[in-house]
Amino acid sequence: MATTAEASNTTTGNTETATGKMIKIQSNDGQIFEVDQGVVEQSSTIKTLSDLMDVGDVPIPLPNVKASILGPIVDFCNHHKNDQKPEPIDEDDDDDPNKDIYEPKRSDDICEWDLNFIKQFTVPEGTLFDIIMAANYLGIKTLLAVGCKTIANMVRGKSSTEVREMFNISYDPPGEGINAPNAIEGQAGTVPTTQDANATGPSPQPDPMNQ
Amino acid sequence: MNDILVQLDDLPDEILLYIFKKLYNDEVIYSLMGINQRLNRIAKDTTSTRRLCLFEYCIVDDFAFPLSDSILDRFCSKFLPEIGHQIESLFLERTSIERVLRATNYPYLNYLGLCNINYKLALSLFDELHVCVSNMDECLYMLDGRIDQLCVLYIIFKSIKFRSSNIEHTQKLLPNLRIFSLSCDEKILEFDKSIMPLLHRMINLEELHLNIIVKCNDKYFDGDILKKNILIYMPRLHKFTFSIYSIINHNDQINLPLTKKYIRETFKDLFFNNQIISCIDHFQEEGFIQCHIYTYPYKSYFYSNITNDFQDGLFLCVTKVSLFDERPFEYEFFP
Repeated sequence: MATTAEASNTTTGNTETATGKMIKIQSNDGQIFEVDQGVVEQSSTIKTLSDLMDVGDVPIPLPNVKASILGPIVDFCNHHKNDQKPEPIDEDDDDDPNKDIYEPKRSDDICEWDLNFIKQFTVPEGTLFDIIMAANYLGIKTLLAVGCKTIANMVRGKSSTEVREMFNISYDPPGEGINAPNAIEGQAGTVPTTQDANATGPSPQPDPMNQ
Repeated sequence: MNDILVQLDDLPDEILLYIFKKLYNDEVIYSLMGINQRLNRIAKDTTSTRRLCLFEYCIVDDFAFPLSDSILDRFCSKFLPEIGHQIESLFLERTSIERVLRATNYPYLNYLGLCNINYKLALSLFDELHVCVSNMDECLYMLDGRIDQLCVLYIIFKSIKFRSSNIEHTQKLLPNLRIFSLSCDEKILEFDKSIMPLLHRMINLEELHLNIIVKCNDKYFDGDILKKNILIYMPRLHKFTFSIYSIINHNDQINLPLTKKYIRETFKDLFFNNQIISCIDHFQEEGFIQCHIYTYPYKSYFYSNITNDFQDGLFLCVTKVSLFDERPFEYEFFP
């Protein structure tokens, strides 16, 4: 049986508020949340669904998100709904030859509220990954960035053994994957180890005609 | 409802890539390579391995700090042998240069950045260079005495034009240079002023490889011209391979016979154990003659203007060809 949670102190079943039309969303375990346009605007998935469906008072089902995750997400979006829209960032700019290799990676720019917010989710309980998956599914870029930056900060400076332990990552089964006989050596063996000193051609130098 | 515990390894590839993009490439490789096959594949993706910086850069101090010994050891013993063939740009700090460069081969490396090292010391690390230069200026800067220890130099020119009118050939000899290879598939207009003075500085050269197209005015390249203008300056030369195109406009007067027999005669005193092949083509409509002489086996990466006079053979190094003739081709080149 569905239960209704209040997404803000001012909403108690009304569908219109000072911030505009209220929309109901429903977690996969049946809990319903009412959110305003400021929240909807941050989620491309909810926005698309609400635009496509004339939902009226019927809650939008979100089958990939459970209530224990959806609730905090609504809190996150409520907190950020008055933020200035960030300028679009090209996430695929690693191929840009003009990009400065020394340019700091921006994973240290999580604001204090977001840091405290993300602390409630943990690796052992799997909730940190739940929130990332949910943010990805709902298309909430700011939350996805906070989650991914948090993971990146946890990984930074750790050896692969430490990362494996921290995230409880399983080994490949014996004889498979990187445990396959000569798996790594086999890959390395494809690398040319010597150059033909007699060849005056460009290989392995880059072909100037293709640059 | 039973909750399924989600782990890092359960995240889809696009989210893992997004996380990896928040790390420097060396951090991705150090922390995530070798964990399991899936993370290995994503970590070894070319976006992580194409550009690699193996030091810590402090933007406040504008200074590069070396990675710790244990991390560097892991890179040199495990990671670099696996990904060396994917690296195109490499940034190193003084104390790690030699270890990293000796760790594996970097066949596609085309940019090397060195930090905390003075210019002369950096250049002194190399006695062999394979470089691609954009113009004659870059070549002359490189050979103005700053890399005196260089023994082997392979240069591919994009163009042999001078970019700046100020730059001049230095008279400084290059006595340590033993092997020199020059390739340029763009027509050289002033061979006498550009390449010849450069070659004359290589007094101890033992191997020479020339793959060029030259605009000639009153002469074309044959054995006599090569001897008189180049080889006489290189008494130690014992290996010489070439593919030289002489392009002569019909308006220009040449006083030498232009026949294969004559060209063959001019090479009879040159003993470099290579077969010399010549192809002569007269293009009446275009108004020029093309005389192509080359040593066989053919070592150049390009074969320009293949005509009906094309000689049979194996051209294993050729990666770039063009066909040109005023007569219809008698052979099907690409069946």
